[in-house]
Amino acid sequence: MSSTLDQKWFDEFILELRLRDVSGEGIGDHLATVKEFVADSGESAEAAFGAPRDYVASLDLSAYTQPVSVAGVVAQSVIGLAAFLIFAQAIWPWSAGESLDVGVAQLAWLSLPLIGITLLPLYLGALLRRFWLLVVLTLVFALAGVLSAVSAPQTAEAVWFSLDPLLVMVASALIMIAASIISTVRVNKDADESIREPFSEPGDGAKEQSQPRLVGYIGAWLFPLCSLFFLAIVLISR
Amino acid sequence: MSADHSLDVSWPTDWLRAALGLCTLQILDAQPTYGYAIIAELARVGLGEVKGGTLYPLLTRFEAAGWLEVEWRPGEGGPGRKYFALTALGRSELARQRVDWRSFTRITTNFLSHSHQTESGQ
Repeated sequence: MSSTLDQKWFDEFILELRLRDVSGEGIGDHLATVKEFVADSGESAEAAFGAPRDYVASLDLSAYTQPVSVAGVVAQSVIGLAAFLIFAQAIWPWSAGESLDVGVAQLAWLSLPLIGITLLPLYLGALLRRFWLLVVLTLVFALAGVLSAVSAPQTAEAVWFSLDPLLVMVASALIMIAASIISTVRVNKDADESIREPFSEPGDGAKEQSQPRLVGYIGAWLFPLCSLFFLAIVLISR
Repeated sequence: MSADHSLDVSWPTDWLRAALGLCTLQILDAQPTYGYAIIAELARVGLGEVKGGTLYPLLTRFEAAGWLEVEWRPGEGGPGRKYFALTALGRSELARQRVDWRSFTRITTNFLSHSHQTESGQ
C-alpha cells in the first residue's frame, strides 16, 4: 500500500515522464517498476530512487518516447490566443458602431503575451512544476491585455490604422474555431496514450484519465468560450 | 558466486559504479530475474548496498542497447514483476567485458604490487 508521500512522488514522476514525451505505456511500465521495487524493498520511493526529476533524467527513455510536435502545439496556442485578443479588441468598437482603430502602444502591449507563448517551450517545464508561476504569468498576460485595451488610441493622431470591427471579429472567430477543432482532435489522439500499468484491467485508469481529457477539451475551447462570454456581456450591457 | 566479504563492507562509490554493470550482467547470466533480486544478490556477494535509483537507469541503458529483454510476470499475490533476461547480444557483451575486466584488474594489481617510478621522477 502506497503512503501519501509515495503517491506524491508517483504524481511528480508521471509529470516528469510526461514532460519528456514518454508514451502512456512507457509511463505505466516505469511506474509499475518503481511500485514493484518499493513493495519489495520496504523503502519509500524517495529513499530508493531520489528526486523524481533526477531519477527520470537518469533513465534511458529512448524506447518509450512518442513523437509529439511541440512546435505544432505551441503554434496552435499562439494562433488561438492572438485570434482571441484581436476578437476582444474588436467587440467594443463593433458594439458602438465605430471602426477598430489601432495604435502603436496598443500593439506593443498585445505582443507581450504573444511573445510569452511563443517562448513557452523554454519554460514550460518550470511552469508545470510550479503552479504559482503559471498563475503569475497568466495574470501578467491578462494585465497586458487590459493595458492594450486601455492604451487604444483616443485621438485621430494616435491611430496607426483602422479596420472594420465586424470583419475582424468574424475572421478571428473562424481562426479560433479552426484552432479549437485541431486541438480537440489532438486531445482525442492523446487519450489513446493513457497510462496503463502491466496487468491492469481495462478501465482501471478510467478515473485517472477522464479528468485530463476533460481539462484538454476545456483548454481546446477556452478561447471561443471566453469570446462568447465577452460578447454576451457586451450585448447585455448595450 | 560465493560471498568473500562481510555484508557491512562499504566500497568507494566510484569502484562500485565501475563494476556494477558487469556484475549485473553476470547475475543475469544465471537466470532472468527482477530488480530487487539483483540488488539482494549484489549485497550477498559483498558488493554493498545498491539503490534502485542506481540500478534501474543501468538496466534501461542495457535494454536500449539490446543487451536485455524485459518480461512482466504476475506477482505472487501482489503487483507484477519486471524480469530482465540477457539476450544473445548481452551474453556476448558480458563475455567481452569479462575478458577486458580481467586484463584491467591484472594491470592495476601488478601496478599496485610494485614500487613504481615515473620516467620524469627517476
